[in-house]
Amino acid sequence: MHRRQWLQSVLGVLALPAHAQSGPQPFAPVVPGHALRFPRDEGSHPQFRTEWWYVTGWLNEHRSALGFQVTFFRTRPHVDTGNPSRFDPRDILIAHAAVSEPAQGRLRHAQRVARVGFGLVDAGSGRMHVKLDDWRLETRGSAYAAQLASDALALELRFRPTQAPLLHGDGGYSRKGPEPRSASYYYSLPQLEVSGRVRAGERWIEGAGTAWLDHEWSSEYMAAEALGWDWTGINLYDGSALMAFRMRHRAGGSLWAAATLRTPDGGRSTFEPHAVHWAPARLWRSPRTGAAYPVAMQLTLGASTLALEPLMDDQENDTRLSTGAVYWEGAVRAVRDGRSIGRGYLELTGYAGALKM
Amino acid sequence: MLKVRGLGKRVGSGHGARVLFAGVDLDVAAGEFVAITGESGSGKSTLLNLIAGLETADTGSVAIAGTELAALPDAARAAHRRLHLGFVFQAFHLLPYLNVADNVALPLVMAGCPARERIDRVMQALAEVGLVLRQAALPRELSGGEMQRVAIARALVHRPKLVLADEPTGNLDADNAQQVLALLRERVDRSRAACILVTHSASAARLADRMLLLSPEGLSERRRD
Amino acid sequence: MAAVFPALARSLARGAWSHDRGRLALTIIAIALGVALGAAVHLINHSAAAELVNAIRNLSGDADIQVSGARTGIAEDLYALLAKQPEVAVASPLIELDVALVRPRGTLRVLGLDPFRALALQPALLGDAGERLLDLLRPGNVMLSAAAARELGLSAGDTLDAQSGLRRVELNVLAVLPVNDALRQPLALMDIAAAQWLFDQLGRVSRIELRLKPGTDTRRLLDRLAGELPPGVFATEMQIAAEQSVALSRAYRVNLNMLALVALFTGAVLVFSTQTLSALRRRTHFALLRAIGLPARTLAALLLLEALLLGVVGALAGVGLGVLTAQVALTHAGGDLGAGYFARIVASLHIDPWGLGAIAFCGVLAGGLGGFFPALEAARASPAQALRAGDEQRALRRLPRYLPGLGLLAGAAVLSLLPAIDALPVFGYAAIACVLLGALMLMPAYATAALAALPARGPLPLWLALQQLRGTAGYASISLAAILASFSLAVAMLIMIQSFRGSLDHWLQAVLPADLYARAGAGASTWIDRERQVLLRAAEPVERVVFSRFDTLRLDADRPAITLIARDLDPRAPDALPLVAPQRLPVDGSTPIWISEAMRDLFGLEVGARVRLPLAGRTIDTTVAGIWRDYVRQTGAVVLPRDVYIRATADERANEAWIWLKPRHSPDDASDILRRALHVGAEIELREPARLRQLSLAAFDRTFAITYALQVAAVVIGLFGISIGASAQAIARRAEFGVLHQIGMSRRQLGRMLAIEGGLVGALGALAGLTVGAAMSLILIHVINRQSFHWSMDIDVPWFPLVALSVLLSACAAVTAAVSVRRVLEDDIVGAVKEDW
Repeated sequence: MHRRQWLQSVLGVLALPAHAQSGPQPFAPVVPGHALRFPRDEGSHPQFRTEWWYVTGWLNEHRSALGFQVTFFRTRPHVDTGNPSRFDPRDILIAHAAVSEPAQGRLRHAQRVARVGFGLVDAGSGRMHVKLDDWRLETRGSAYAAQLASDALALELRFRPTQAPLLHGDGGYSRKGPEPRSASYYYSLPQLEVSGRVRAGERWIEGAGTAWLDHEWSSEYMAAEALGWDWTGINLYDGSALMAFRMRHRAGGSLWAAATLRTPDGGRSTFEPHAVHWAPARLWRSPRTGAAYPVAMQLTLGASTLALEPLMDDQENDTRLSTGAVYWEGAVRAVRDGRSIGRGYLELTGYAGALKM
Repeated sequence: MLKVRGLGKRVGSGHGARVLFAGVDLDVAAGEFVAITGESGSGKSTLLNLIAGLETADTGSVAIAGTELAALPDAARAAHRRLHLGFVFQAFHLLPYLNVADNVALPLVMAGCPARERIDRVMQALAEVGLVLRQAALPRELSGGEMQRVAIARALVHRPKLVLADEPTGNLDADNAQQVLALLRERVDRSRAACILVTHSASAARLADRMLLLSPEGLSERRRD
Repeated sequence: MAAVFPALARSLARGAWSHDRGRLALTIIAIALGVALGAAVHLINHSAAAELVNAIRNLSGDADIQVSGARTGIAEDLYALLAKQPEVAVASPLIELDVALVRPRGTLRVLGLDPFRALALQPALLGDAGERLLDLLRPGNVMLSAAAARELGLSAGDTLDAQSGLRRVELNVLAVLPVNDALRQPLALMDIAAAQWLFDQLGRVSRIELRLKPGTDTRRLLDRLAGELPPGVFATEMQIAAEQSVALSRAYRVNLNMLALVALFTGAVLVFSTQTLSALRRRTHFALLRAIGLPARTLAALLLLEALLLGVVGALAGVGLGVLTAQVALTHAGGDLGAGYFARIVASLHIDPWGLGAIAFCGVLAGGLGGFFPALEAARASPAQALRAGDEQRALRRLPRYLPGLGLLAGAAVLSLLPAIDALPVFGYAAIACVLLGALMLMPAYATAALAALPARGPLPLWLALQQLRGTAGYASISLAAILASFSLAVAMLIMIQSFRGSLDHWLQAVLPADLYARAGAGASTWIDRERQVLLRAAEPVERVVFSRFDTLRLDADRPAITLIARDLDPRAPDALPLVAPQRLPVDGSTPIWISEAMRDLFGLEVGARVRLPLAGRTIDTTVAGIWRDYVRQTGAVVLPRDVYIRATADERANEAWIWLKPRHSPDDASDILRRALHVGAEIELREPARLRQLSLAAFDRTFAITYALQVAAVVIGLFGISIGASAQAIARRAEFGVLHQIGMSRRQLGRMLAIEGGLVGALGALAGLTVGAAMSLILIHVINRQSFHWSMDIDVPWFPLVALSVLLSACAAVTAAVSVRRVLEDDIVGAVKEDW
């Protein structure tokens, strides 16, 4: 329990607006008009306060289908103090992984936190190369690889890109609220061909499927009045990729929303806040936290609507109750007209109290 | 020599109290040998203790050689005893860690007799009871009769005026008893001391000049038979 | 037979109980006191030691291995090296510093850790304060354990000033940590990076704790690491490392336990005297039982059972009392018994059932042992003999004579020549036990001989008293035994402590040669930096300065660290080294070192021996030039020329300065001038040698305070013994007193006679106690202290206290005897004449 608690306190940084911290603005701002370049921008951006690499995906089909999620967060806990120590906690890495298996009925997950340094824990610049001891997410040739192991689970996966990076918002400048400074640089690598094996408990499962990688960095992610967010990333079977999110207002309703859709032919459309509409279709109440999550959603983008239906209901990331930062992160199917048209992940935060420390 | 008047003693207290004896009068002249008999528990030993000044009477007085005992403090009574009295006990009561000679010498040591004279007198006393050869023996090495002979020597070595003998033959067989009694009588007569012998044995009492019977009402003369 | 056994036992016990109620009660009290003392001392020490081990174990959670070296730490690069080993699951680097506090005054143990790594080993470390984890990463923020907050009177939000070098560092109390098993001791947690920075420890960590992956062969990994780690750095299994932390105090703890056992042994002697007298008094009773058909063996068994019962009752009462005492002591005085081993440990009672069981068993054994010989004797006696008067003395005559006693003394001499076992002077203790037992067995012979030698003259009470004692040397020897058992140990301890104190005083004079001593605070986080060293040397009143730097070194993985003293010195004539033999400088040009006696003993080194000292990750070749006496560092110390140390480590800090003043300056005005010249206030302690001596001797006296308490207990138990013996005799001799009274001894004379008897026995006992105590003090000094603590000392006999104590003891014995017979004399002693005896 305690371990989850401190992890949560680190995660809580995401919810802290930078201007709430004392002193001058110490982190680089996210501004429009900055061009992202690859593979350079796949690497770390230590001048920004938070950054994450987020891989979600499905392995296998039908009854043996399972979801997985691998996340590496980088966060700067505070302004540079000038401490010359090699232990100085300038950057902290948090890694989190979960496997969703319908047979299991709930998530298996594993997590780690450590300060960057001594070549043991590092988020490299120039290319994707994140490691936390022997847990890694890195570029391997033209592909990427994730590798991590704990008692509860292990993942050894390779991801082969089939499409170009998908930039969100205005060329990768993705606003998160009405204030322009509440924004991030954000791109995704959708339609990754994934193969490898997953260990759930003691059992190894070989598999292949499609995955989605998000890479996002910012200094001020969440607006002060935001309660949490809903997010989804779907690999459609026809090769299209869809990302949609909304920031929910503390007073209820949406504070901000956006979506990006790219068709296989490369046609990319973005949706303004008013064109993105999230409607809960079914609530699931966690027996552990008592929180009610809209685990099935009706997502309307402009004129088209699709339903998000979970692989299983209980995909709650069961972290500590009292911090109020428990969230739901699960594999979902996209369904239109009763037919499955794609698979991806849905993330629901701020349902078990506001996402803050 | 000894003058006892109206002596009375109660034992116990409260409701259980009873008169042991009352109105005891007794005169013993120098050189006289008196036997006192009585039932068990009639207070024969208590009477001796009163005479010796070891207990205090409820009524009456005891005077030895003109000295009223009750008037004296403990130290003076002790001094009086060590000068004028000699004791012989039923259980001999020799000090176990002193040899025969030292046991006999005890009254002389207490009286502060010089060492040379003490040795002479002890030797003489032992000779008189026929135990010179056993002078270095410890009490436990002696027979009962021998022990009582040592006790008699001890009782007389300092030439007391009065010898108090409490059942001296009680622990001895008949032959030994006879011998010890004869010895006691002889030694007392020789030293011209008076002697009060307390006994329940009629044969022992017969040895005395006078026989008295102790009862709650006092002492009464007994006919010799 | 079996059926009547309980009835007989009851009858015998009733006989004993009705006659000897007071004595039996005293016997039980004596055993209970001995057991209680042992239990309390053991429990307090055990609790403190267990607390220390648990504190380390709990703080490191499920770490398997600890890698550590000198006190100044090991290179931080080792962290990366170790974390990358394939067998290692978690590596947690730590900095541990005893930091001097300026506000509030005091010291505080600061643990600089990487919370992420430390929490992986011990998830419960921060408790609810885990929410403030990110704040803990900020330099200057600390979390205090509840014990530290209480001790310093601080709460969350307060600040405190610590000393680093001679700088002040302000620390903020971020939170007071909830009480949990990992954090029971006074402790401050801060981030390792902050600790390195604020306390000038950049590049170094104190230790690294490792958790291994499941299935790792720990032994093999340790062997491999032994080859890969730099010199002076060792990997140790966590449990062993935790136990090493209390190994230092082990000899002290064992010594205290032994002392407590001695108090218990005195109790055993008491049982012996009580049971002997009691058996004597019931002699006719036994004889009668034997005469009507009770087998001798059954009688002996019954008596032994009776003694064991006394032991059991005493032991149970003692354990209860001891637990209570320990609980009270721990709550109100902490876990330290004065020696400072556990001075800062907050301990709660740890019941150690095995230890307590052993002590209680010793109590029962004391009862059984004390009752064994009387039981044997009673069984051996011929009933016919016993029924006769005056047979008691015959019985006592059979008490052990010369040969077994002399044999035990010879055995003691042999035992005292044997070496320690596992660093404990087991044979030394055995030798002491042999001396005591042997002496006890010789008491009848001694009593007979000594009494025979006394002239038989003087006034009646004296003459009679002497005759009585001579005639009953057996009784006398029982009283002598009780006196001997308690007094000899008091004598031994007095001589040992006086010798130690005297030697320490001489030693302090030798090691404090200068006019003034400067020390930078008490903790490891403080030092005199190079600039101030220069200022100090150049200061006006200063004639000469010698700087010392302290560190610890580990020469191997199994033994605790030794102290390294790097000192400015002239190798031909080093200052203030109390050498035990003339020194011999190496002729081959290797670096001379001077080692303490403890280091010589522990590492088997002699003058001329070559030693490779690990310094800053390398080794330097040195040769032992001399051996010096050290009363401070029990695990060993080595003095090294400071220039060599600086060349090897580039560490120019100093912890201590010895200052010789120019003749016209007094220490007082020089202190003021120096403080101004160095721009320091309280951060540097400036002290005169007289004051340091005074402080050291006060600390010494504190160490032995508990020892004195144990001795007082033993002597009191011994006096119990005398009074028991006296009153028993008085009762037994009622008829004798009666006869003496009848044939003309006054009560006063009788009282005087008994006082003389008591006084004579007391004096003889004191004489025996002095002799035996002196012999035991030699074993304490030359065997037990040498083997336990590795320090030698010169014998110094405290004549006045010993003579005074002897006189007091004799007087006590006389008074006790007189008092205990008074009641009997006031009774109807005349009536007693009627009783057959």
